[in-house]
Amino acid sequence: MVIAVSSGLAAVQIDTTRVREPVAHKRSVGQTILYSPALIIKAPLKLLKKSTQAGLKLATQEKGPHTFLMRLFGINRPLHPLVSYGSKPSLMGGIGFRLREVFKPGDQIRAKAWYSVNRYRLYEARYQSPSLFGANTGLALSADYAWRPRESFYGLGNGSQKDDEVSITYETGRIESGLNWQPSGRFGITLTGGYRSYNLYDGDETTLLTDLDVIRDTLGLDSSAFNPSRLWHLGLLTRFDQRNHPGQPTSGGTQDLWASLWRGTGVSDGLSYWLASVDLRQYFHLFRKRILAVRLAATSLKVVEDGDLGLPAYLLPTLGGENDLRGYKSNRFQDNALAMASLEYRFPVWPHSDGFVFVDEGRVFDSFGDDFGWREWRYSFGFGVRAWGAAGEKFRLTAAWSEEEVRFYFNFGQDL
Amino acid sequence: MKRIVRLIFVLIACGVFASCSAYKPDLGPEGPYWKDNDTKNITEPTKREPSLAWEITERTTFRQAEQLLDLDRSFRKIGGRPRQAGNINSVDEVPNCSWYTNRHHLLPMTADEIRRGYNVTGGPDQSGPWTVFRPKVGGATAGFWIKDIKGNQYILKFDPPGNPEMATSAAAMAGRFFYAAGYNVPEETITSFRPEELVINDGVTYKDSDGIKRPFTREKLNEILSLAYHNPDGTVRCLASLALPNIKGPFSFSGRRKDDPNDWCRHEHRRELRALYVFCSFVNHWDIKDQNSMDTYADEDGRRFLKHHLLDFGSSMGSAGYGPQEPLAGYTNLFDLRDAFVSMVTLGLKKWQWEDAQPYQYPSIGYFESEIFHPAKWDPIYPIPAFENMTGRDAYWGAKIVLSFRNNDLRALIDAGQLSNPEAREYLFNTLKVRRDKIGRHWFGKVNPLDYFVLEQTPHSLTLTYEDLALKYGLNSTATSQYEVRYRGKAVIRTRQLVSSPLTLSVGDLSDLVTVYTPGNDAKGYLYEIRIETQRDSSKWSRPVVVWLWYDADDSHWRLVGVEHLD
Repeated sequence: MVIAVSSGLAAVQIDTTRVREPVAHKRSVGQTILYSPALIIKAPLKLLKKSTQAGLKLATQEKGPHTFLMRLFGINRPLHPLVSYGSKPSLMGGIGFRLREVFKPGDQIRAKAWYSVNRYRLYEARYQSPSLFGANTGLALSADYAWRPRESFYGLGNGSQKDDEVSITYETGRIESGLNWQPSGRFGITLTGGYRSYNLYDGDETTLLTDLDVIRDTLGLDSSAFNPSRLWHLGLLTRFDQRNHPGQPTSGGTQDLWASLWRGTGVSDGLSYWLASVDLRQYFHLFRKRILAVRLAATSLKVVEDGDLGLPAYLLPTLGGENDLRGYKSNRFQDNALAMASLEYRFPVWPHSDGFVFVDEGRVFDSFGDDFGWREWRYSFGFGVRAWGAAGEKFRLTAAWSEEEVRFYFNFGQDL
Repeated sequence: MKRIVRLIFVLIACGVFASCSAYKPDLGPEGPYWKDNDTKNITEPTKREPSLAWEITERTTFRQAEQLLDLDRSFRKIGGRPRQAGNINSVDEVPNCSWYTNRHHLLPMTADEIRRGYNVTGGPDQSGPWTVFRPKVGGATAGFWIKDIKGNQYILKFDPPGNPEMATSAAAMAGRFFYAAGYNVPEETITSFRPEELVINDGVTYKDSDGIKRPFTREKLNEILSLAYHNPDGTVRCLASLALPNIKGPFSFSGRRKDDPNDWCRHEHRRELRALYVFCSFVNHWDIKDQNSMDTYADEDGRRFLKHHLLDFGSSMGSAGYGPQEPLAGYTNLFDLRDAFVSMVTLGLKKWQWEDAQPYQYPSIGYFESEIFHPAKWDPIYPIPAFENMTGRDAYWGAKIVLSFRNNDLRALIDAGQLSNPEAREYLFNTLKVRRDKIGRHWFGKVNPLDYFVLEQTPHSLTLTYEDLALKYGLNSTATSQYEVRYRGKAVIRTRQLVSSPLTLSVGDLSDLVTVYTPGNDAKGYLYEIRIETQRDSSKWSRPVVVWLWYDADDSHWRLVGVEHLD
């Protein structure tokens, strides 16, 4: 077919009766010469690419090792693999299980089992329903068991030294419950209660002091410092949430107040103390979704009765780690009370992702009333990126500096 | 050390050598080919099911690094000689093939043809009930599949509740645009239905977010429809997209499909896929990706072969399908490493143009603008290899097709969207018009936009007629344009200044022309080269358009056999 086409002034003839036999492109001499070294240069990248592709395929495909396990255990429910890394537990792997809409719309059961290279073991089961007893009344139940053989302890007080780090094994078991009443979208009250059990053993980190008796003497602690404990607790948490968005708040804030009474039982019989905390967060929109997040938090423990064995040191409030003084290790500072402040400047880098820089300040006190002051506060600063969704933060990568060290955190949010 | 220096020297020499190996048009006395033989019978390929997560990861990270390490590509880039498209013909056009059919720019369509688009069934038959037989799986928008009483299957997609008419009109308009531009698309029709008249097939199931199979009930159907805008009379407006038959999975914007012997040209080097960038930028089809394409095992004229389609245009213009488009759509990739790096380094103090976006005026259009739009800075949702290999010539080809849509054609496209608000229609028309002209001004500035050459021969002269597209489309109406024609004479390079088309060569000129190619002693034909450059006002001369003429000594006949727009 020959078509004479008039296109304005000119005319084009399209003859589709003559057909071109396609010939694939052949490399020129120059291209061939360049191809070989390029192939070698790209080889490590290709290897990384192939392994990433295989990993991603395994994680996202419907059929894989996890479906084999599901069949093996006769569970036709979504099991999923878990992978994590922490400086103490090292590489952790496990399996998670989630079941939604069990009794009521919106409720779910979750279970996880983790094992780590450094012999950490964590088992966790949780039930959550936002509206089990009506539209505004929800319930959360959880039980977990953890064996953590390489936890650090630095002694008590704001002056504790990094070089005093020792290694302790914690064995903890917890049963917790929370009955939540949400009279409005912004205000909620939660009645918390539960039972906790703590046993301490010699640590596993061979480069540090691990013998509990030696540690007690070296750090000058009371004999009760590492006693086991069994505790019931009952508390009330109130939350006032005025944020305009849970994932990327640009105005408003949250005000959390929590007070609870802890009473010993069994080996901790006679022990009784109050624990109270306040956590205030406020968000300010500066310009074009650049946000300043301000946080002030304080916690205080007040012993009512020492009981037969006294208050173990490990039950005292701690400061340090991903949630407060980010440039310091978890539990770096420990005492009867703590206070901290944080400023975080957030700016968008991708859709639903922010970069941030921050500075944290905080310290622990023996008592707010007796030794509160503005001196010797510890500070850290850093930067990172975070991803958020409609329900909250989904992912956070943080690099933090302090006078002692550089810390990195990588965290997936609850709703992933 | 000396060896390393030598090796580096050899590599650089090879690079320069490779980058200098310019594109050579396939010239012959018969003139250009207008059809590729890529519709030969093939055995049925398996269905491709690529992972979107991997595609985003690969295109955003690994491919960027690989491209840097591709020495041939890098040297070509440094040398200003990027690799030209591999499937163009000798007059710088794309022959008809299983990917592309020349339509509006060479065979102007009427307004009615543009409005109608690709239309086989005319949409779902309203005379009987529609049976829902499958919920839509994947994608950001809700929908489901129906079968009408004729047995035709359609996927139904809807408008978000806050943006009536937006997603359906955007998809219908963009689909018709891509069809008229030459691509294969599915039939898409805007229609409406009463939800209570839908019938659900027995045994239909869906998988919930945990992957558990559940029965697809009337409640689930209502849940999907609750995400759609309902007309005041209770009907639901929808876009009915006719199911493509024998689907074999999406095509990739790079490489070749191994189980398709007809797939001869790497996709990143196909002109119509490279220049798709220009079309997507015009209608802001941000969501262009492998997953929004589809190969079908077509059966035409007794031959079975793979045909390649574009689909799912719901995220075009101001629509994101599920809601209005984010202002950044079209101005950055979803995960743009470069922009993210700049934001991180400047602590967010770098202001991106799209951040000043004003709220959209018309809910039925969403965020679609023409002020900050820049034809070369438009970005798809994630990097597309074919787009990254686009040259100035590819972009020029795309731009000239976009510019072939004149005002009446744009109005025909807008008619297809069935927007009820006249002000919204006018806004959309003006936006498309400004974007079109910006595309023309930008890409016509990268090559010399002389095109549609025609050669006429008289006993005493040759007349070469051409169109200056910048003038034709009124893009440089205030500038004075002049043209310099160079051809190789026996002694010197002859130049001739023209103020407009055509160029007439006398017998004397012709006898002075020197062949640039003579095919051997028993040759009956000779090839001649003419270069034309353009100057607007007193700006610098453009790169030349090269026109190739073939003289057949047997019948003393001249033919125009090639056109090359150098960039």
